[in-house]
Amino acid sequence: MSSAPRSEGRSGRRRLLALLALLALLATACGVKSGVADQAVSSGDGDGAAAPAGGDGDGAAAPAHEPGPDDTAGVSDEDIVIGIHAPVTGASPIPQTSFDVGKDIYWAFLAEADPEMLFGRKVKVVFRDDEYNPNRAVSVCREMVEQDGAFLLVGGGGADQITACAKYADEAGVPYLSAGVNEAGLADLRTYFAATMTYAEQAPLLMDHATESGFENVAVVVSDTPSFQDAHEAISGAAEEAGVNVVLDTTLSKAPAEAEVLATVQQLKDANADAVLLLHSPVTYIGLASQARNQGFDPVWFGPGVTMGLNAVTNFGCPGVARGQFLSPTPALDVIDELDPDFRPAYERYAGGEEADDIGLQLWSLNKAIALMLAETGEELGRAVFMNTLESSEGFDNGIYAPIEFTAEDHFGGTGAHLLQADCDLKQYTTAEQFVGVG
Amino acid sequence: MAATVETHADEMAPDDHPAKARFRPSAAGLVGRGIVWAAIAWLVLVFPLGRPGFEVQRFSQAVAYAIVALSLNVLLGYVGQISLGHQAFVGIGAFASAYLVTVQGQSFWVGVVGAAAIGGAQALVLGGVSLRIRGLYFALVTLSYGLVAEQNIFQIQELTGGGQGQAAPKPSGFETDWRYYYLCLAFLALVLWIDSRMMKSKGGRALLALRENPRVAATFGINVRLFTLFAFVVSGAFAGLGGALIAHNNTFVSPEVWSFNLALVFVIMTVVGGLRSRPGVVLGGAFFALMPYLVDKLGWLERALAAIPAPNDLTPELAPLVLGPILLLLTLIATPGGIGQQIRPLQGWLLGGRFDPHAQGPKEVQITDVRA
Amino acid sequence: MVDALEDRSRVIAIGAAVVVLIGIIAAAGEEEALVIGTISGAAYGLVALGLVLIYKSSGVFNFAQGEFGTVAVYTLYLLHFHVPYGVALLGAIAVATLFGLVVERAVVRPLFDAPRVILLVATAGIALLAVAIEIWFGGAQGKAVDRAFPTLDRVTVLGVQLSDQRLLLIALLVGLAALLGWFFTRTDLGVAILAASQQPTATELVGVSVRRLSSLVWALAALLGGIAGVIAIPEGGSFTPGVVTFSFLIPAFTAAVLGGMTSLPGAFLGGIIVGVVQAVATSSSLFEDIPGTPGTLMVFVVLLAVLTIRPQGLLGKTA
Repeated sequence: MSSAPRSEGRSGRRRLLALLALLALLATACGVKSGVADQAVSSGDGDGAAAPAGGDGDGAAAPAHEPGPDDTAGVSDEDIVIGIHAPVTGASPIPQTSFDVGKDIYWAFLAEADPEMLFGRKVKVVFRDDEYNPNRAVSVCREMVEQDGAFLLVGGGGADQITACAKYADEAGVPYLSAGVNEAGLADLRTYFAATMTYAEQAPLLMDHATESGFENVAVVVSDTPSFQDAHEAISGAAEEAGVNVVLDTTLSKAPAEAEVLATVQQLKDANADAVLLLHSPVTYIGLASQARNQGFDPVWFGPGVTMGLNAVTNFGCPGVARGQFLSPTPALDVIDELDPDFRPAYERYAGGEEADDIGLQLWSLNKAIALMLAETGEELGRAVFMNTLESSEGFDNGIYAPIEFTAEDHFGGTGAHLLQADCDLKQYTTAEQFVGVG
Repeated sequence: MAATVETHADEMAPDDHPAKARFRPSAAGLVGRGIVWAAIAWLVLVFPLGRPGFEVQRFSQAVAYAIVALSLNVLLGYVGQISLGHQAFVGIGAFASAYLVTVQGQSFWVGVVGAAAIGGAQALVLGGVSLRIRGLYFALVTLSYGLVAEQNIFQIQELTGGGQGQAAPKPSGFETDWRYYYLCLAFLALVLWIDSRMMKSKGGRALLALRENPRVAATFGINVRLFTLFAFVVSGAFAGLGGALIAHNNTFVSPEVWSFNLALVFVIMTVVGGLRSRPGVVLGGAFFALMPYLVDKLGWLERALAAIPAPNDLTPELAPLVLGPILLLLTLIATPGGIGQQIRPLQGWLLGGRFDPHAQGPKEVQITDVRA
Repeated sequence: MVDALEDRSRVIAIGAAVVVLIGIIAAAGEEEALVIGTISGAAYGLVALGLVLIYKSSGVFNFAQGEFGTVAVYTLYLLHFHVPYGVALLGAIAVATLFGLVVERAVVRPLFDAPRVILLVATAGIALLAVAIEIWFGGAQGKAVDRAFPTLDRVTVLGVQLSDQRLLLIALLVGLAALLGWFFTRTDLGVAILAASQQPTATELVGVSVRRLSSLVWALAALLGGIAGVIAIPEGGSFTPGVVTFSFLIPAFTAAVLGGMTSLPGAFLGGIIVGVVQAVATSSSLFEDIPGTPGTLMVFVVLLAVLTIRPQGLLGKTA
């Protein structure tokens, strides 16, 4: 019983264990090679879109969508599954309860009011928080498609998250709809459709508004994120065309420190701006407006957007935001009863006591537009025919948005917007002008 | 019969008797250990095969986080310097790999090597700085550097390819989630091997000794300063590698995720994992990466959390934000050795030793403090 | 004697450098940045006071300092609907102080002898937990609360208006820094705290309870943090969970380190430097081409430069 064999024995045993583990690994690897080849590839799943991304030459008409292997995923005789992602936590979040309640109201209403519009199918909505994080957005979008079986995806907000998920949706051949945000990175995607005007498209409207309102010295402040760059260029171009006098054109970082906000306010003051076109987050808007007011500087704040026109801004930003005028795809709640008398009663009936709010209106309008799209596609519902219908249709008019028009080449369907004016007495936005830019 | 005699002799011998040192498990003990090893192997290697693709993608992320935890462990556990900007190293690795593959048209392997190299180079510079600026001040410098990475470096257009992020496609031959996962595991094994070789070397042992007794370190005859720099480089290289794996796992990299918050998550997962314990930090990293997934999957947990009385529900997205810090505080106060300390008895047992509930690991971490 | 002379000449040299820099900034037409830097720097300095206090007494980098302020603001917001503003203010500061005491008892006390890095990580954990609970209970949305004094244009300096609230902030900073300085050098208690941090055993031998001192220090730091929160945050319009941590803590740490981590007037000076650097970087066209946020890069450069040239900070004493 000398020491040598025993220690050798122990290390020998260790080596055996290691060898066994290695063999196990190799065995499974072999299994991986043969077995996994049959399983679905992680990206590039179904072939909803026939045209390879960017493969077509410019100018050639984009071919119609061809059904892929997952064409009817999410569609059964009884229901259609829609997946929505939006930021409920993280920076620039949307109130959770508003979202939870609002996402289903229209579909509950439709199921009772006109069940045959979708040929007897009900719409089931799955919602996931993307935490204002593009990687997480892709992750939850994959989950909604692969696990929850979503037929189409909807982006609730957040330009970077929408862009990330849209790219995934394009690879997977899943139709993806969102409110209009940036254009870069989205323009070439075959399955992405913007239901409302992008920031770049809103730029000329804003500049016309500037001239009509008689703004003499206009300043432009844009958030420093690369995804806003195409919007920034469009704004500068539109300003030149409309002959607007731009006295300051600067960027402000995404989450600015107080000193930076103050410095920007000082620059605006020194430039004598009477109106500031702002493309940024609502939190920064409130901060800028508030600090500006501290400095006795009170310009008109205006700009494009969906989130800038939300009542959360007026709720917390008054009195700094009192002179704010922002475009929005939906009008404010003050005129909604004329445009869609079903909205408030539906909330009373289905919302379990929750009050109708502007988030609810955004969701209602988007869902209503989707309903029109689904209805027009017809009873034989599949991803490819859905997208072909979107591209070939005359347009979709839900009465709240400006009419939505897509072509095979142009998936940015917004044709107009509403101008909202902040009202700090009511702490809400009111509608200053409806359907700007239409007709 | 021989086995009984052996064990009896072991028990009778005093603790430092040579016989005691050579504990041999019985046949039943071997079988038991074998079963546990097989279970671990099954969990890591076979279980993911049955899961859907997007779940396996999360597992790959967990493996990459484990590599990041190992890299931070080199800095925090071995060298004894805290980095509050580690997300910069990882992020630079991610962007470097994406850039090399997408913009420069190189292969994935070049991208990964490039990411590790750039991560290492960066860390070398920071290591040089650390020789001059120590302790908590150094921590602040790394924090500030992390912010510079997030707000300046990752905003460079050529690097980031516009706000949508730079594409980072998976390597050919490993396009499926499952294959990529095994690839990540292979990289993890490589990192573990390099780490253990490094710390077994003379320089590694000198580094560990330095903390407990600087004079002893001098007797090793190693230029400890040089080895410290080397350790920095290794840490940076691991981090860069982890970043590259994360980038290709998500197939794109965007600037937003590399915030100071992430730096804190990295530090927390390494500390909770247990400094200087390799299996500990691997588990710590994996656990923190998978936490949202676990909360989602364990239905009873989700229900229990939602039942907590509060104005809002504790959703699966919110839960890790709350649970993470609580776990951290519990770890720090109750078991400073983290997960590593907890599994040490098991670890020893699995490697053929006795199951010793009072197993002691290396001594506590000491960071050089500067009090001006 | 030689040390004192050396220190004095160093301080004079630094003072001269500061004057020169001010001259350069003014010549570049960015003199407003000086004012902006001072007023936002005052907020950083106030937070930094708490950081320096805790570092001086226990060698810990307290990452939870920002959350003392955020908790105070949230309390102010909740209370001001139900009670007069002044009462709400006091209540908010009291709650923050209580929070500090709880943190000390529950986390700092058990880790009393642990390595400082463990404590740093623990305070970071507390901060994260506080933010998570704020999101959970309060919602992730922004909220707003009015400032204490409505007058916006009490004084105008170089074209920048200073509101009553801002002046109060500066006054508080100067006053509190002076008070703390006097406390540490002239009172028994203050000296005891410093002694306890350097020679804990000796202090215990003399009959001073080191643990009781620890509670006092943390309560004091939380008080300072709470004051910083309720005075500085309402100026900014709205606030979100973790606001003080995300907007003020890191510049405050930089300020404290720049000033020399144990120097109270240093914290003030450091705060102003950080504020001015940020302001100049934002408005000056020199920095336009820096990708992303120029302020962040410039603060990093300044930090690195100061620590390399003078590792103990501008006004710190050598160890």
